[in-house]
Amino acid sequence: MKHDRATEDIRELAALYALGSLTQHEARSFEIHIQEGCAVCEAEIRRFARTLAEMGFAAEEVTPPEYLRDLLLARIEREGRPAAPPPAPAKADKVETPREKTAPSRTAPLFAAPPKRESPRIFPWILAVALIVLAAATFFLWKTSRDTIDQLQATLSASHSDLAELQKQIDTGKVRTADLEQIWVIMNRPGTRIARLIGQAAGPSNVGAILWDTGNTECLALGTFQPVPQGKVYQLWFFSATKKVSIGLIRADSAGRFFIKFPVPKEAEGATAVVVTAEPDNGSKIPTVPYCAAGRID
Amino acid sequence: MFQSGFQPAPGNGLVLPKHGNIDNSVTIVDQTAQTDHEVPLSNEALVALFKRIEDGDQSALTTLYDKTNRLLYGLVLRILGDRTSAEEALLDVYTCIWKEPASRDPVLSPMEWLTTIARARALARLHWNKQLKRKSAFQARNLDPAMTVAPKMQDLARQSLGSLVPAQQEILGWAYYSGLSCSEIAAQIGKPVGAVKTHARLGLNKLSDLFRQFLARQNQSGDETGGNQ
Repeated sequence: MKHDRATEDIRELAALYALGSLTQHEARSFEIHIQEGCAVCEAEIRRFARTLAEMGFAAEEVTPPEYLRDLLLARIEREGRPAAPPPAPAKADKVETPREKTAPSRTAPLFAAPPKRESPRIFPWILAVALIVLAAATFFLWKTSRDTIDQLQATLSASHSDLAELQKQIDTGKVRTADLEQIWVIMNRPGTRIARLIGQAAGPSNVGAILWDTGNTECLALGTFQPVPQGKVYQLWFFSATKKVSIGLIRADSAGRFFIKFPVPKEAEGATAVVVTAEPDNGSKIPTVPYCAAGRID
Repeated sequence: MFQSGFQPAPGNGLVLPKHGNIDNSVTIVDQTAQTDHEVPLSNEALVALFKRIEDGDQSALTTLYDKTNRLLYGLVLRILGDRTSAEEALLDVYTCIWKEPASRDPVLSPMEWLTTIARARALARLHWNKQLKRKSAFQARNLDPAMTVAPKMQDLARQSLGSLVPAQQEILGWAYYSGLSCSEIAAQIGKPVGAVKTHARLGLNKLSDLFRQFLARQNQSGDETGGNQ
């Protein structure tokens, strides 16, 4: 809406526009109003813009450093000659109409007045900020990926460990299954005799059993014994009324468990008891006392 | 509190109205008799310089620089408050003139256009550098005996500003030398935004009337030493 006279509101708006004290939104709205052809508002802006220019005359004069003149000369040498001038204005002191303002060279002073909208060399800063944001985003993605990879690696490592443990349990289970199968097979044979090993004075917590397959002249020794003294080894004997026959050496694992199959010599026929003694490392021809375990053969 | 720069230089013979006196009368003391002042260029001479600059004459630019740099440097120094930034702003002003001499607004006199460009460049640099606090602490005291504009114009500007009521001086000072928005000024001085707007309008309106009255009297008297108008 064009105005037909200058009101106080218009003067205030024009004064604040010329001072550059309007907000960006207010200034833009006012510029649009001027460009729509309100000569009243335009005249007010020009009046105040000129007044502000004259305010500059009140500044105290200060002599700049001498070298500034040389810097200016160096700069304009570097910048080169100015661009070709646009066509000369028809009348020097004519106030432009809004339509004439389309020539940028003649409207620049009026609309350059609000200094807040001037942003010198802003593009390099925008570029710098964009690069910083990009670098931050890249670092964030890299860090996130790295964390994810670390987590996956940890999970994979744990899985490997679980798998190894599981495999170990499977292997142990397989061994026990095989042991049980052997026990089952031997116990189902008709000539199998069983002796239950009971701990004696030299090994009161020892427990075990002997499955003697008399048909195949072999026996299976199984049980859990307490650790044997340093430099000693357990030795299994079959006792009869007249003989004490060595069957073999029992070497338990770290937990004291053993599951060993021994051949049974012919001279052991008629044995009625089994005895386990602690003997020197290579075994002994005669069992020593006290016994570590003993049992009657049923 | 904003350090007002509107006080006249000591010993220049100005008669200022007291604060609060809104009488428009301003007494101008003619200083053209002072022979130690360098004679400022007339409007016609400045326009001729701009024409030569448009044609790519570097010597015209250096002449313009030699004749006008003190006022513009004082102005940008007053706005920016530190010499390094002021020197860069001053170089910006003359580089702009060299690159776009035809952009001059013919409605403004050459010196008015130069002060307009200088203020815009300095405020742009001020906002960019965020040097408001440093600026407030600065007070130029390096007075130069040479004159860039006619003494009458300089005196008129200083006296007119001095004739404003203190609130108008303060608010126009903030707006002119800092380029702050009304709400920012209101926050700085602790007054309502509406009061800031009113004082800015009344102050600027009064200055405009004073300048126009002076020019009208000058035209009537046909005073040849009237300066750059």
